[in-house]
Amino acid sequence: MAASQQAIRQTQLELKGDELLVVEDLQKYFPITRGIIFQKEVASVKAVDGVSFALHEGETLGVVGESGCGKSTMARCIMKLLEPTGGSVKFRGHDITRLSRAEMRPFRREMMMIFQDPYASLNPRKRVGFIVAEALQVHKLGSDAEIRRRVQELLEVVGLNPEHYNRFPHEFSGGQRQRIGVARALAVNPKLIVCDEPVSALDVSVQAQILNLLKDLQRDFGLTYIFIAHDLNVVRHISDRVMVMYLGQVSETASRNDLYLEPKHPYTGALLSAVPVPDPTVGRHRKRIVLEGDVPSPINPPSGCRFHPRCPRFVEGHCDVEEPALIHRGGASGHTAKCHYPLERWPMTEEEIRHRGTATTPAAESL
Amino acid sequence: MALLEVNDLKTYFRTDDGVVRAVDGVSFAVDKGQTLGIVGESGSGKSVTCLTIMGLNPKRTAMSSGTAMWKGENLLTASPRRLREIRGSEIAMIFQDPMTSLNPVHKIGDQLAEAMRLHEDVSKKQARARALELLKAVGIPRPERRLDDYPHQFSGGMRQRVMIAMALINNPDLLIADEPTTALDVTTQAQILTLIEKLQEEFGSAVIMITHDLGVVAEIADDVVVMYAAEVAEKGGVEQIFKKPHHPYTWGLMGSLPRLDVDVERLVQIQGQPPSMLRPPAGCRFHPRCPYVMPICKEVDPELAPVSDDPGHLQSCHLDEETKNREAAKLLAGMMAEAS
Repeated sequence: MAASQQAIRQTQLELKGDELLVVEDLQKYFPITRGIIFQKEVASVKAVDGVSFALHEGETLGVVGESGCGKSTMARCIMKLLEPTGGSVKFRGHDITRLSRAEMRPFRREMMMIFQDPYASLNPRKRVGFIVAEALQVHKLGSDAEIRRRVQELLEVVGLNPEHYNRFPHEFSGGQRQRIGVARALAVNPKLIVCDEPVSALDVSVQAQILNLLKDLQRDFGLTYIFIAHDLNVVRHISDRVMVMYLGQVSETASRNDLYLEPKHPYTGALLSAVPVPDPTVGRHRKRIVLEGDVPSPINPPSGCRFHPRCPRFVEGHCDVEEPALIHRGGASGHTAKCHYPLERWPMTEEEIRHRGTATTPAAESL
Repeated sequence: MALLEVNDLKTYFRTDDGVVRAVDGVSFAVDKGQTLGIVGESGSGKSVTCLTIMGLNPKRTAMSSGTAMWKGENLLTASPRRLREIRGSEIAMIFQDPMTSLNPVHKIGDQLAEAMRLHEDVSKKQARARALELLKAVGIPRPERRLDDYPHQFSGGMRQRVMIAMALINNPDLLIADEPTTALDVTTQAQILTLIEKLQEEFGSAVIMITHDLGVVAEIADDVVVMYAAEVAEKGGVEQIFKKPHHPYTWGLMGSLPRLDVDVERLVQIQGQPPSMLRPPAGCRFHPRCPYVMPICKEVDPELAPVSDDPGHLQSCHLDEETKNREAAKLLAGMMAEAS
C-alpha cells in the first residue's frame, strides 16, 4: 500500500507546480454506540477509509461518486469541520490534521467552502452585506469602511448589483444566492475553495452561469478548487483531474481526458455509461451498463474489492478475497485504478466487459 | 383519437400578491404506447400542468380552464368521484421525491395493496400477491421479505421503485412521471429509466415524463414539449427538437448543458432569471433573456405556429425561419465539430 502511494505521488508531482494540499490515508469513522450511560462502541461507519491525493496550485480536482460514498465527509475533514480519525492533511507543507481551533485560524483564511444548498447555507436573518463581510470581520481585515468597499467589490465580481448590499437572502433567486455564497468564499482571498455540489440544486441555465463564473474566477485569481459533484458532465467540464470514489475509497484517479476517454475501473465505466446523452440518435443506440443493487453499507464493507458485489467483471476467489491496490494503470502518467481486472478499452458493452480474457493476468493487462 | 388530448390548458393561482399564471395556454396530445417528454426549468409550469390534469390542485386557490380529454371525457369537468376512479387505475403518477411520497408508518406491502384494493374488488390475499409480483417486476431483491418492511428501511432508489410499482399496480394506460430520477444517482437513474422502458414495452402504457434533464428526454421520449414561463416554447418529435431546434430558449438549454461528448471552454449561458409569473413580461415571455430580441418581441406575443416544412413541429418565436435555420445549424455544428 505504502509503496503504491509513493508511486502515485511521484506521478502526480510531475503534473503541475507546487503542491498546495496533500492528503494521505485520510480516515473518518463515525462510531455506532449502544447503551445509555455506558456508551459502548459496537461498530463504526467507515465514511472515508484511506483516501490519498495531492492537489497542485491552480488545479481543479473533481470528485465524483454516488451518494454515501464519502465525498462530502472527505471535504469536511480537509476543511477540519470534522476531526479526521486517521491520516494526515498537509496544507502548503504544514500538517493541519491535529491543530487546535486557535492554531487553525490563520489557515482558515486560505481555505473556504461553497455549499450545495443556497437556500440553507445563508442565514435568512442577516443582510447580504453582513454575510459576505463576516469572514473579513472575523479575521480583522480592515476598517468598517474598507470592509464595506471590499464587499461591494466582491458583489460586483460575482455578477450581483453592489447596491443589493442591504438586502436579505430571501430577496434573491437560487442562482443569485449561490453567487452570494461564492462572494462569501472569495472574501478573504483564499487559495483553496472546496465546492461541495455547488450547482446540484440549480436549473441548467443558472448552473451554466455559476460554472462559467467559477471558471472565470479561477483564471482571474489563480484559485485551486476541489469540486465535488455527482453529475459527471459538470465534473468533466470544470476539472483538470478527476477522482472517482466508491464506499469511502478512491477507485480511480486520472486527468480529465484520460478518465472520460479511457476509464480503467469498471465502476467508472458503469458511471459513464449511465449518463444520458442529449442526442436522440446517439442516446438510443447506446447500451447502458446497469449496475445491480445499491451501494453496500459502509459499516460492513464487502471483503476484498469493495465493488465486487456489483461488478460485472467479478472473479470469484480473487476479487472477494484480495483487495486491489490503487496502482498505475493505462498509458498516461497519473492514471491509477483500484482494480484487479481493469478495462482494456472504452467504450465497451456490458457483455464485452463480462467477456474478460480469463487467461490474462492483471499485470499483463495493465500494459 | 389520442389517449389524452390537452387543449389550451390554463391554471391560475390566487395568492396574496396577485394572480400567478402557472400554466397559460398549453396544448399537447399523448397516444397509446407513446412517451411525451415535458422539459423546462423550475417554475415553468410543467408539474402544475400534470397536477391539473390529475385534478390535484388545491380547490380554494386554483382556477383552471381549457380541456383535458381523456378517452373522450373532459377531466377538468369530471366529478371528484369520477376523478378518484381514474386516478391510480387509468392514470397513475410517480412523484419527484420518493422520500416523502410514501407513508412512513405503514408497511410497503400494505401501501401497495391499498392502491389496488381502492380500485378493484379483490381480497387482501390477492392484493398482496399482486404487490409481490410488482416488487419483483421492479427489481427489488427478496421481495417476499421486503413486503413487511417500512419505507425507512429502503434506500432512495428502492423507494422510487416502490413508487413505480404502486403506480403500475392497476396497469394504468397513462403513467405521469414527475422528475422521477432527479433525486437519484446516475447509476440508480439508469436502473429506473431501463425499468420504465421495459414496463412500457410490457404493458403498452403511455408515459408523460416531466424533467429538466435534456439527456433523459433525448433517450426515452418520442415527442417533446419545451415549456418556458407557463407557455409552450416549442414542441415536436424528439428528432426535430434535437436536430432542428427552432426556439432561442431551446438553443440556450442545449448550449448550457455540459456534455460528456463535447468539449467547450465556456458554456452558453442564458442571461438572467426566469420571470415571475405574477407579472410576466409583455410580448414574448422570453424576450428579456433572448439574445436575438427584436422590437416586435417586446410587444406581440408570438403564436405557436408550425415550422414551414414540417407541420408537426411547432414553435413560438418571431425570428424569421432563415435566421433560425442558420443559428440552429451553427449551434449543432459547433457541437458536432467539437465532438469529433
